[in-house]
Order: sequence, then structure tokens, then C-alpha cells
Amino acid sequence: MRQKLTLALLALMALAIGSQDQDIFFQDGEKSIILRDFVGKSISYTPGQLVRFSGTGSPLTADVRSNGLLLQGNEIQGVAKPIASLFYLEEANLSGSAVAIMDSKVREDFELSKKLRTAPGPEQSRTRIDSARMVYAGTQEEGELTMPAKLRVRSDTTGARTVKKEDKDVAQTYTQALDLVGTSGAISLDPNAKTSSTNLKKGTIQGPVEFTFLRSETDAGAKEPAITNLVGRGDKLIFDFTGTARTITLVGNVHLVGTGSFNGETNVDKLIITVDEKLQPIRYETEGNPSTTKMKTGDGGK
Amino acid sequence: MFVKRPFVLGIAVFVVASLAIGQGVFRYTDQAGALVVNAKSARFTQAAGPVYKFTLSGNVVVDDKTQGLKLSSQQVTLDAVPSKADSKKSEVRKAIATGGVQVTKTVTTPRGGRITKMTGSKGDYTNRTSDGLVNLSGPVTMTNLDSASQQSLVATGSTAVAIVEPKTTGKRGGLRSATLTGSVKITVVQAPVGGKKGSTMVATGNRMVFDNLSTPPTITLSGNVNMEGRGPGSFGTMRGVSRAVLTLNDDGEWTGFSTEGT
Repeated sequence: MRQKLTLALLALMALAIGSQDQDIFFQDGEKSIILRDFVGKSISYTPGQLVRFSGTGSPLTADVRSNGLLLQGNEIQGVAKPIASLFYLEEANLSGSAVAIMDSKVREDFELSKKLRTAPGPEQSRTRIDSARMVYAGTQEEGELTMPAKLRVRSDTTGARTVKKEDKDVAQTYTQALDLVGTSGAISLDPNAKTSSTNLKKGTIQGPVEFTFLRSETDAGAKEPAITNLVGRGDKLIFDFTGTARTITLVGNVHLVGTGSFNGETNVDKLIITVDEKLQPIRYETEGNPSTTKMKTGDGGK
Repeated sequence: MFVKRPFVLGIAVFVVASLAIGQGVFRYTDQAGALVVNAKSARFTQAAGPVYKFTLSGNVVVDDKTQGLKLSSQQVTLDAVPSKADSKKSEVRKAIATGGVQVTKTVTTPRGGRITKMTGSKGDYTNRTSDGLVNLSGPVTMTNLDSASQQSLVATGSTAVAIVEPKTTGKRGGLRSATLTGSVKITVVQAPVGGKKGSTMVATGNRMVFDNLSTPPTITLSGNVNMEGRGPGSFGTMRGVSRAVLTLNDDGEWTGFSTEGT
């Protein structure tokens, strides 16, 4: 009986794998780009030149593993560029419940399989963006998504690092989750999360913008993690993690309430949050009037 | 053994063939050796025109050197005519073949030579002066090989209609065009580079049209088209489109493709 069940399960798995394989419209020889579930479809391919593709589906998927980028939607026009034997997404116009997922682990696993890197990185970051429409323009190392319609961004990072505490090196693990919505925006993404501890490089989100940010840090040997929890809103949000001064700026009708590194509540015209290289908030600055800020005693609130 | 058909207007002419038939093997050669016919048994008449009419069976081989055409089969009905350029030579005008049919067209190209082999269970060939028309039904296999570069195209299907060069030269080989229907499969092998075997493109569909006269030459596949590249530098996989057009270079190698449809 158990043998029969095992065989049936194996058969189902084989069927599922075969079915998934059959859904593929196009994939290159190195499987750096896989187009799946295209109903209407066309592609133009000339070795060594740009690959142009388009299609419809409900939804279709463009899995650009060399970029660590997965696009889903009901309609797409795209261009992929060959570099060495791999393809990288150069342009894409996506519409109809569009989803973009940039996952550093996908890129990392792909690069490990192609021996383009020798070891996994210390952290993983996955960013998902939902919008009715989006336009992607990118290179091998970065991509910019422009969303002219309402959008939602969810970015999760996990990692490990060593921090100095009382002149001692302390091993620390952390998780971080950002969830924000806006009415339109443009975001630059880093597939390798090289710039900082996230796929997000810089961007501008038009509002009203609402966001939540949750970060949990656990030192080796600690009983409980240190948690930073922020809930905010504003008319516009600008973030830039590319320079040495990494900032998140909220402009217009800003409201922020938090615990942890920011322990309190503020209503201001402008709020600049400076973060470290791992996106841990380290400084909060407010500008403009009227401004009301209540800070609780204890942790946070610099 | 020889039959003079009542409707034949001309006078039947018995030639050296009669001796061969007596030994159970038929062989006909024109005066220049440009047309050679071999078979186990044959009926042979000359009709007005003149037209040499052969009814051949058993390991039939018709070798027309003027057209670079060789036809082999088990049963062949053949019409041959004297060459307009050289009265000592004869050429195939029409042939109808049944059983293990193979048509081989050999031509010289600017880059060397190309051999096109087409096989089927029955078929016919018509010399239309400006070109040659081959009809085959199947299953059929068509192999188009550059003898110098080893680049090749192999196509299989249920039926094939091919138009070939009239003589023994051709810019891109002996095949001007070919249409295969049925469950079609093509394999395009690129020429070896630096001693390494060339990559391979395998494609399937319900119909294939090979246009070797257009610039660039194209292979158009239609009906549930799937394609797969194999070997170094191959493109990968493409599945389930209604139409795909492969472009080729003058050497017969595929240089790209575009697709459309659901």
C-alpha cells in the first residue's frame, strides 16, 4: 500500500514537473531568462543580439534569473540583452496586475550554479512590488521600476553581521520588513543587494504614502531580540541608500509612530530618517511647522 | 518482354537494353553517358518527340548527370528526352516512382558542393526546364548537406514538395524551395567551428516551408511550433507558437528566428 502511494506521489510530482516544463514559452540555453505561461506570444532572437519578446497571459511570467527578477502580469513587451552567454533584462513594459519580485537569493543561486560567484552572501533580500502597470529599465547590475499607478512595496531582508558592543565583537542576526503603499513611484533596485542590506537602492513614492517598518535584531546569547517598529505616512517618500548618508525622507503631512529606535510619535512637515548600512535607523530629524513630537523615555529617539 | 503500346505514335526502338534484360538486369546509357538507367526488369519504348519511355522495376536507379539528379526506387515509370543542348545526351523529363523512393540532387555552389537527398514511399519528379519539381509522400525525409562545411538541414514529414535547380549549379545548393507537411521535424546543424561540432537547432511543427531563394533564405514553421537548441552556444528552448520564421545565411546556417501567434 505504501509502495503504491509512493509511486502515485512520484507520478504526480513527475506530472507536475512536466506540466511546469510545458508552460515554458522560451528559455535560453543557460536558463538565465525563462518566459512562462504566455498565451499570445512572439519573440525575435538573433544570437549575440537583443532578444525582443511580447505576450499576454493570465498571468504570464518572465523569470530573469540572471537579474534575480521575476515579472508577472497580463501583458508584457520586453527586451533582453546578451552578455557573455547570459541574458539580462534591459527593458520591460508590464501591465495588468503587474508584479515585480527581485530576490537576491535567486540571483545568488543562479550565479553559484554558473560559477560566477564562489560563496553565498551574508544576507538575503526579497522585494515585491505590485502595481497595475510598471516599466522596467535595467542593466546587469541594477534596474529601475517606474509605476504610474498605485503601488505596494514589500521588502524583506534576513542576514547576519558582527557589531561592536562595549568594544566586543558580537554576532548578530536580523530580519527586516518594509511594507509601503503609494499612488505612484519610481524605484531603483539592486539585485545583489550590494549597496545596502536591501534590494532597494533609491526611489521616490508619491503619496499619500503609508508604510510600516519592522526590524528585529538578535545578538548572540541574547534572550530577546531588539525590535524597531515604525508606522508612518506622508505626502511623499524619498529614500536613497546609495551614498554614505543613507536616508528616508518623508515630506508633507508626516506622521510617524514607533517603538524601538524611535519610541514615540511625531507630526511634522518633513522627517529625515538616517539609517546605517544595514538600514537600522540611527537618527531622526524633523523640519517645519506645525510639529508635535512626543518621545517616550527609554530606548531610541536620537 | 518489350511492349509496343497501341497509343504510342512513334516506332518502338529496341536498343542494347534487350540484351541486358535477357540476363535479368536492365541497363540503359545514352550516347554521352549522361543518363544511365539500371533496373532488374524493364519495358522500354520510344515515342514521338522523341520520348524514351521506361517502365522499370526492381532496384531502379536513374542517374541524370545533366541535372545532377539521381532517382532510386523499386518501381519507376520514366520519360526521358534528348537534351536540347547536346543531342547525344538524354535527360529525365518525368519520373513516377513507388517504393523506397530516393531523389538525390547534387550541385556545385560557390562555396563547394551541396547534396540534397529526399526519401519517401512514393513520389514523382518533373523537369520543368526552368526548374525541377519533386513530390514525395511518406513518411518523407529531406537532407540538405553542404559537403565542404558539413552544415546540414534534415527535415521529416508526411509529404514533401520541392523545387530544385534545373542543372548542376546553384548559389545556395540544389534546393530552391521545399514544403513539408504532416508532423514536421527539422534539424539544422551549424558548420563546425575550430574543429568543434556545430550547435544544433531542432524544431517541430505541422508545416515547413523552406525558401532558399529569398534574401535571406528562410524556413517558416507553422502549427504548434516548438524549437530547441542543442550544443555549445545554443539558444535554448521555445515552445508552442503558431508560426516561427528562421532566417539562414548563404551557408544554410540559421542566424535567428522570430515567432508570432498563440
